[in-house]
Amino acid sequence: MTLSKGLILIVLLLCCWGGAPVLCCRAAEDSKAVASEYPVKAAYVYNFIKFTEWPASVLDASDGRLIIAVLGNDEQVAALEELNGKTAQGKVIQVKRINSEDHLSTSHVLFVCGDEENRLAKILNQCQHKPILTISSLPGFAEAGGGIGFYIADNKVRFMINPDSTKRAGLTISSRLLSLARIVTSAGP
Amino acid sequence: MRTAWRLSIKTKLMMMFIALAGLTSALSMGFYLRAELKEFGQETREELRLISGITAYHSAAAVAFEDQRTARETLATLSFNSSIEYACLYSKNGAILAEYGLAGDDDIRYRNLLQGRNFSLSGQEWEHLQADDSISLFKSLRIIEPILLDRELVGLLLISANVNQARAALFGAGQHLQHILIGDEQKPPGIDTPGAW
Repeated sequence: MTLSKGLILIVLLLCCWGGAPVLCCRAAEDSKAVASEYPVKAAYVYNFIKFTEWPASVLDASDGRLIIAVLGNDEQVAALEELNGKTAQGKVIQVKRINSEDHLSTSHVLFVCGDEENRLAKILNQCQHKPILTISSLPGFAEAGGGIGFYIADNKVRFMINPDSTKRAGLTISSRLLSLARIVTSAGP
Repeated sequence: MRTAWRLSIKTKLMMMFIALAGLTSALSMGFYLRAELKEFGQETREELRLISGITAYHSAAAVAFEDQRTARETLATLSFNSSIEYACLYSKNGAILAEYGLAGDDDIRYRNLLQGRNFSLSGQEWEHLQADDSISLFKSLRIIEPILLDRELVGLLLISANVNQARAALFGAGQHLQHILIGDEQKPPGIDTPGAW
């Protein structure tokens, strides 16, 4: 009996010893996969800007800058900050981290990070009828009234667009972009 | 030679006149054919430029987001033009996103030339690529169209069309003319097909 217990213990130890590197590798792969989606999403945000039309008055009053406001704090922020200084729509992109939705007035794009889920309804309410393209990776973002929501399908970054929401904001999304997106409508009350 | 020398002045003049008329006809026919071929080439080029411009515009989003399915769907719309034999969409880093049709030997050469190139090309390199965009009658016509998004190059579109069809249409028109000249009322098949060219 003691012998069999000892054997089981040895087998368990061997399993742990052999399994640990495998588990570590898998964890590393997962974190790599997660890490690699951030620059892709940042590049997508850059492309979204190119396929979106803001009212002329909004861009004219922007002093040559196109501001991406980032609300919250997660790994996506660093990737988005890489867009600083790039040009789109003839304007220089400026990525600005904000802590509160009260500082949205001068922004053209709002990226809502994953840690802002609890405040989402309030944030979207603040953005309503303002010419701001709202983007987030939060699940159900577009259905909740956001503009563009990211999701992962077949290990690829995909996006859904809520055209009603963008229309309400006074933005025009190119049909070429709409043809690539999953179209969603706002969820009912 | 001696027989010709013995001919009357009238006959000699007649023969000279016929020879001159024949030469003039042959020359004018030659010039006409050359002009027609050139016109066909230019029309084909313009038509393809228009088609490639429209296709490049509509594929910009698919290329920018590297969406292969949509890229394939966009290229599939080229099927309405039977002269387009092959088309290929490249992303900015030179990766092939989608292909349409069957690539001939020359198409494969062009496809491989562009594949894997970073399309942040210098002006000189771009001019070189544009210089390759030349019409070769009796062969193929290739168009390399830049795909632009907000004035930034995001990819390339290569379209290859068969110009033999233009030649066939031209020779068909020549046969038609011959039928009219010799009084044959029967039209050769396929000449009046609308949209053939």
